[in-house]
Amino acid sequence: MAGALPELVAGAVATILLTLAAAVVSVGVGILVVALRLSGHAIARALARVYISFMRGTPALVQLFLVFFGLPALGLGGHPFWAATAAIGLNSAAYVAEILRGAIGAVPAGQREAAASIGLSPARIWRRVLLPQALAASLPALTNEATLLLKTTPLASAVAVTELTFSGQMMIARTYQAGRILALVSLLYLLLSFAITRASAALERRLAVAGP
Amino acid sequence: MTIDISPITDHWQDLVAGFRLTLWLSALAWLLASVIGIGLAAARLCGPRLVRQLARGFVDVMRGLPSLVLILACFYLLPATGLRLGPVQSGLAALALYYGAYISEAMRGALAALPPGQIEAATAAGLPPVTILRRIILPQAIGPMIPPLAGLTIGLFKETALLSTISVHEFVFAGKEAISDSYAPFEIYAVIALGYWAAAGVIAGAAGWIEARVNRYRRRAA
Amino acid sequence: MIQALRALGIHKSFGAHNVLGGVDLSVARGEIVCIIGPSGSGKSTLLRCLNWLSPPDLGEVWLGDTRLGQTRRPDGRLAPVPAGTLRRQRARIGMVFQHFNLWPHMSAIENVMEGPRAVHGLSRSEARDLAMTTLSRVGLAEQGGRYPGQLSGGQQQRVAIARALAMRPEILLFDEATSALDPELVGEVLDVMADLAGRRTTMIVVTHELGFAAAAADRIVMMDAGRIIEAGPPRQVLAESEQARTRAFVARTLSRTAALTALIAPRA
Repeated sequence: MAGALPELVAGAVATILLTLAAAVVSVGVGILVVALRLSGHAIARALARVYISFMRGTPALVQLFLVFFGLPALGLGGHPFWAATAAIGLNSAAYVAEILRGAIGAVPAGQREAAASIGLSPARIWRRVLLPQALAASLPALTNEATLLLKTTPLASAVAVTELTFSGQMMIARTYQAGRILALVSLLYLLLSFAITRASAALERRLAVAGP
Repeated sequence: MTIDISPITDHWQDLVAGFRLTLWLSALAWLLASVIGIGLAAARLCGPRLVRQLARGFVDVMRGLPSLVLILACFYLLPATGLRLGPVQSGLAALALYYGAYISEAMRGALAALPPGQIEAATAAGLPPVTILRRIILPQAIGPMIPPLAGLTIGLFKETALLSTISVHEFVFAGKEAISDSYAPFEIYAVIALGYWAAAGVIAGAAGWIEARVNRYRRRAA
Repeated sequence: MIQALRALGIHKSFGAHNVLGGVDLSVARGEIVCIIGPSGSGKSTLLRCLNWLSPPDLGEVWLGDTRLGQTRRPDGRLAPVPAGTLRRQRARIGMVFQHFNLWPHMSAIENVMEGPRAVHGLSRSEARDLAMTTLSRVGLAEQGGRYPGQLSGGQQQRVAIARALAMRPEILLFDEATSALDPELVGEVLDVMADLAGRRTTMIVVTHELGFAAAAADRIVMMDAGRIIEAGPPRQVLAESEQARTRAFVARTLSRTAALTALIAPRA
């Protein structure tokens, strides 16, 4: 059983990388989508709503297959790792957008008025007044979303990305020691979940010191 | 890029059969998960200390584990307990346990949000516990419960897709078979996505309708 | 002489409720105008029309020789100006709000720096110097690094005033700037406002502080039910008004302090 660990840890590292990469996509696209969702143009808002509805209304596994089989048609072939990153990130982005939408709405209107009365542009108001406060206020919900993102990474095994679950499955196929291997795999996921919560708590503490 | 729908029409029967099984599995898993969820919520709110801690531990583990890992665990390990369980039963068990934990959290949250004074007043007035539950707790807790439960229901429905990895012949599995026949993965998965999307929309609509009716009742009672 | 600000025929309704029923107001450069009146008289609504924060349904506002918020098309009709133009116009008017509206995640000095950097294109160090100078003028030179949450209400409002001043506006609007403050903090803000008045800053001040109005205003405007019912020097409006509603309003405001004055006066 000790022999299982190195291979599983390698898988865990791949899981961590996948989670981080997908998280970057998730936050980046999420901010973009919420900007569209709250924009003054009806078409932009409609596009955002359709995107969010589709991402939340279809299984992540199906989205992964669509991206995996669709990327080559766009000329973007390559390693399945990137298809998984894109699919998982795009899926999570819809939830991030909704989280941010609530937080932005919670910023008092007076702050927006003050910014407008000084003559700040909407982009500047977004960047300097709304987004920083929304991100800080959303930290608990975003942490939850990060944990969910971690728990979505096993789907990448369906396109043969050698992350933790895939490594576990391959080992089970070789050794038939399903119980022990799955116990180790579960332990590793629980550890990673825990790490995310701890990192978020540390981030929250840093923000509290730096801010008001 | 031309879109050829013959892969879809050729396998229409199989896709529909897979979709039906998906619906079936979702409904069954949802029922089991609800029972488990209610049980866990009850255990955490009014059980003896050990039971409360065990329930809490179970929920915490479910929230830290990916559902696919749980599905694989049930698939590989449950048959070893002697019960004759095929992939469908293993899959159902996994989804029921996983979503049972989340449902219990949603319920617990809504119940904990009730002002405790109300229950105290009812107890002091001598109302029996069942009556308190029926007339005071549930009517008020149901409303706030609906949005998170609706989200979990849709989540469960979507998650049945993972059972395709353990060879359950649901919607996505049917799609894979169609693809191996016709080599049109994108088109087939697109149709499958649309199928899920439509069904999710129906579930969300139903939840909204239920919520509207429940809240009407609450406003009248208030 | 071009007026600093002119409002002509301002009408504003919210749904079925008509809040402003035709208001004209002119303010000369360096003039201090105080607007007083009961709640619901439309004072704040008028102020928010003056910087087009809440555009009027009917009427025009002129900032110097610039028509605010609107432009006359070749066919003679009025159309809204592009957003960028409106922002540049707004930058020429400073506004101080009742609830300060500071940005809580930025320090005091960052609040003051934001406008000059973003709108006037100052570099970070230039903006910082300007902000320090402005904060000194309101007596908060030491507090620049503090965050709004760490400041008292009076200090926050003074930062808000500095933030408006840093834009070097042609006119400053005050929307009940002391109404949300604890009584003992009102004085420090009124002192800053009085100082600005002394330097002949063009100001329109919506206020309940009749004492301040009496001392600092060149002209007091009395509003009631969406209209200006009286305007003139402080003595005329506060002490010698011939309008029943004005007299009633002033008397009501004074009666609150009458008992206190009566109590203290004999012992003075």
